[in-house]
Amino acid sequence: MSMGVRYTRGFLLDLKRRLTFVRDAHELLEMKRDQLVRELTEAIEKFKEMRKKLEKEVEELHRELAMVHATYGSQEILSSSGLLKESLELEVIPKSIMGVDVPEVKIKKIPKPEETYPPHIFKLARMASATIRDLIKLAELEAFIERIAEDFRKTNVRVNALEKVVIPSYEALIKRISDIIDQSSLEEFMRIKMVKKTLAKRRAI
Amino acid sequence: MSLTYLICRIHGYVPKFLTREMLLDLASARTLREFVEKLSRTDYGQKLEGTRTLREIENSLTEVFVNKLRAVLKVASERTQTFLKAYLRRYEVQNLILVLRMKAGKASKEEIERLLIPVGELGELKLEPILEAKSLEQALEIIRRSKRYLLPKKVENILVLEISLWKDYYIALLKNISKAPLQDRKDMKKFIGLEIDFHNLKTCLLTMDEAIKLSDAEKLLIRNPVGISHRRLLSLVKERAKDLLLELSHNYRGYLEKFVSGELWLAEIERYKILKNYMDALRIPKFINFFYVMKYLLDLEIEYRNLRSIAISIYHELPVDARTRLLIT
Repeated sequence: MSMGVRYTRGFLLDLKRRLTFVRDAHELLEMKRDQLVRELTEAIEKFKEMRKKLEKEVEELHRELAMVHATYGSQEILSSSGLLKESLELEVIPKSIMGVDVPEVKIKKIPKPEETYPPHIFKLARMASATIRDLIKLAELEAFIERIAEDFRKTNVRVNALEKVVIPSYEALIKRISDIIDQSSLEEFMRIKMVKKTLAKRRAI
Repeated sequence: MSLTYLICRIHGYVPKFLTREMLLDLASARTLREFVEKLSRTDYGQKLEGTRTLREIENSLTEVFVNKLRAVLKVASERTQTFLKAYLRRYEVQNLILVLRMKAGKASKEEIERLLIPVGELGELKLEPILEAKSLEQALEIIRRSKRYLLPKKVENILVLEISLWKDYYIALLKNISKAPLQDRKDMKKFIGLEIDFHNLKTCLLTMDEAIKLSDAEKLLIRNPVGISHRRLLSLVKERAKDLLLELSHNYRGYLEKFVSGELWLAEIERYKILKNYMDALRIPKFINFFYVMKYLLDLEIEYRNLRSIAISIYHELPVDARTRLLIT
């Protein structure tokens, strides 16, 4: 820490003020870290649940696709695949959580399979559409977890740095300056006492 | 060539069908390569040589299937040929549906051509100008001009077009029934009646599910002389009485239940099973009749579908029990 140490009372007071500020910041960062942990734990739980559900959905979708494909042949699947005229439209809006920018995905337009596909493909298309929706939600949650985790890592580094380096070094510096100031005050006191004694002796003579 | 010659030839072709055991053995193959190897030991061997991908296998199976249909047509007399051609136009209808769907999806001519069944002389319509049409409307106009299919003037829904094509096909087939040998007409009519019933039931259910407008359904239902009455179906559709439709015929219950539950692929398999059962029940009494030829044609289609579904289910790595569930046996 380079801060041009001066062994004066003014500097000591300034240092003590700074230490209070750093301690407050540490407390706040600790609170932020705890909140981020809570958010992260909740999000991870939700993510696990969603992923499990999605894996099941994808499995069912694949099974349905295989069954439809096997029953009707590739021609039916391929000829129907181009029928979708509309495309999926998404909007990604940044949202701030504890000062962390996380993406929020809004589905602006999702094609309606019931208006497009032949009936035997329709169920498959509807399942695929639902899976895509869930995939988008999962991607959003994954991005949320990534950003929060990254911010948690940074906050943790800061909290640790304050707790293990900055605050102890401030405290040590304050102690050193106080000791030096105390010592110099004592020396000054002793010097004055000696001077007084000498002056008193001289007057007595 | 006489009808007897045609029936004799068919009796010669029938032993070439793959047995149920062979199909189950094929369904147990772990890879497409193993499937091709196993199938190569049969009549399919020559055509399957060198095929590796699913598309190649599917194309080879389609080619073998169409060649077998052509072989039947070649040995048929002129009169029976007319009826057979009218029956085999179903593959032209399948192609037209494919073309129209892909035109609606703005696919290129090359993309469409890659998926077509090589029907050749089995169809009556020249597909080339339809393929070259720049839009769906232009393609529809060409089909309308052929006067083989009476397509609706205003098309809002591709599904209506597809059902309309099938309707025209079945009406033409019913008209051609007089070209079938006299002693088989009644059974043929019943068989076509079964198919028409399936067509009508599908149209009804789709209307009840609001995939088709009621006004369109009224035009798309076919009057079936040997099946469920047109009036009854129409009244059920108007009342949206799905439950009553399920109770309508014991024969179709399995098909209808699967359709209503949303498992249309299972309903499709059930449809083929019902048709096959009807044909199989008449196999012995119609052993030396034209009906036997029709049974052969259905069995050919079923074998083609079975082999295709095995190949696709191997491609998707479906478990063996799911593969066998897809078989029409």
